Amino acid sequence: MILSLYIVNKAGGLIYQRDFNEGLNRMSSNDYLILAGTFHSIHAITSRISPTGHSDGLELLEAETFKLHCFQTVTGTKFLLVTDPVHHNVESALKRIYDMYSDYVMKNPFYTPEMPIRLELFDTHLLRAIRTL
Amino acid sequence: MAKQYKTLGEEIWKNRVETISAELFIFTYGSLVTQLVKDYEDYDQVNAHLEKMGYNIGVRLIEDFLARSGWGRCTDFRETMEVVSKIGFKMFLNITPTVTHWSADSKACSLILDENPLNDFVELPPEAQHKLWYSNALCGVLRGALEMVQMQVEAKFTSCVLRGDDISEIQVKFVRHLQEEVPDPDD
Amino acid sequence: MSITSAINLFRQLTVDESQVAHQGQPHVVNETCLDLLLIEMVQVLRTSVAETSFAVPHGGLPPSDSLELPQSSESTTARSNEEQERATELLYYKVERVGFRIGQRLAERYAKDRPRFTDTLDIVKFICKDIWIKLFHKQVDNLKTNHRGVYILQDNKFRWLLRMSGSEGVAHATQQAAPYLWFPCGVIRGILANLGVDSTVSVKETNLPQCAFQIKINRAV
Repeated sequence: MILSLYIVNKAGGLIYQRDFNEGLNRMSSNDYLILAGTFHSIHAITSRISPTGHSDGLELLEAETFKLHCFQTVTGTKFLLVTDPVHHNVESALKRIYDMYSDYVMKNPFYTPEMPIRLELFDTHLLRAIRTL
Repeated sequence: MAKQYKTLGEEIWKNRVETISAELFIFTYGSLVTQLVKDYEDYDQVNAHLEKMGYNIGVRLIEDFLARSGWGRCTDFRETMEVVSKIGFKMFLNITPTVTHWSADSKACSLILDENPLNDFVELPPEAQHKLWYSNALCGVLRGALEMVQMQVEAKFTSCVLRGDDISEIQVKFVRHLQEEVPDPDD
Repeated sequence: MSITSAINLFRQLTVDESQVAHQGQPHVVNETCLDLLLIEMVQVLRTSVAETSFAVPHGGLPPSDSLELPQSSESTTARSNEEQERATELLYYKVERVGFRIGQRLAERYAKDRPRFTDTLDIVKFICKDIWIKLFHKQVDNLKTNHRGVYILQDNKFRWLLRMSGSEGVAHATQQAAPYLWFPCGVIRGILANLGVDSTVSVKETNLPQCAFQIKINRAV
């Protein structure tokens, strides 16, 4: 089950956060921002400590109750997908999400790159896609 | 290697791209250039605005390129330019410029545009022929898109068939790799 | 450079149609190219309005560094509102002009191989069907007329609006979308003009992604 999606911009700012299930524990919006920034830093460190050459950094964070998958695009935008521990097929979900981001966010004239994403069409399409996955 | 890019570029163009009549796109670009020429009455400024506009397009276009092609990071500038030509230009304009004139240090090269859809139907009036880089938006697109993948480049037209030159050539120079922004932990 | 030669640039843009026959294949490009060009076109024209129309004081005002008393905030707002309106008007004019020229050329290309038009309705139908299919891969969904020179073309999923949205509801996004719709208005007016019909084209109503264009015929063929 896909629980939540975070989108973090190049500078480590949280530009999108959405839960896909009712009744999930919420944090304060400030905590979400801190989480995104912290993750961004840790990601940067993990991509540097690789002892055997270039690394794209942290890809998966596993906990007892959830998994956090990180997909960083070549442009530096991060998509963080929180799922239950047994969820698979994350790759195709992330691919779909990236497609929708490039269509409904980047091709929307009212969206300014790097800014928070508050676009109803993106929400609608995302929700529909997540449900059918 | 080059063949692999070409195959992928063609596959994307055939199967993963929605197309529209080129005329509408070409006419729109042409009509916009005309409007800017009227507004600014100065070709240098028009060139600059076309480049800036291209840059902004590039910033958005790169995500479409990456999402649709599934292409990852390139190893170096040489590979990048092959990808730009055989996958990038191919999947957006259905052309593959020739990458050539590499400098000895592999930091500069040229894209020769044997075809350029933007030029279709266009003939410049004499006074524009020495001043207007009609397709200058393309340089901006290259700069904007590559900057988003942490590569700072300079791109400029050095010749253009609309000016009476034999070929249309964009010179691309690699400037530097941009560091990813990492927040200061003490912040 | 003079305005006349600028117009000339466009005239000459039409010249050589033979170049286009690329091995007999219809020439196509990725739809994204146009999507992004339209987004940035409005931006670049907005900049042009700011830089070319407001850079110099107009209407014979004294230069700003001459003696000027501090203005009350009220009159400043009034003036900036007025400037805002003027800027919007100029942007409208430019975006519409860009569309108009394209319309003229589209008519030239797509109308030349078909039988002569019998009347204005015939031309409007040509826009609803042939032109719409060429540009948007679909026909206009609904065409209405009062038979006295007013036509309403309704498209329930207007292609250029499909990706536009905001966070404050459809009404607000629709308002924001206005400048992008002046462009197709210009295209429609240009097509009609090229076929000998003088018209006024406006957006009758929008409700993203639905859009209705109103054509008012000023003088028929």
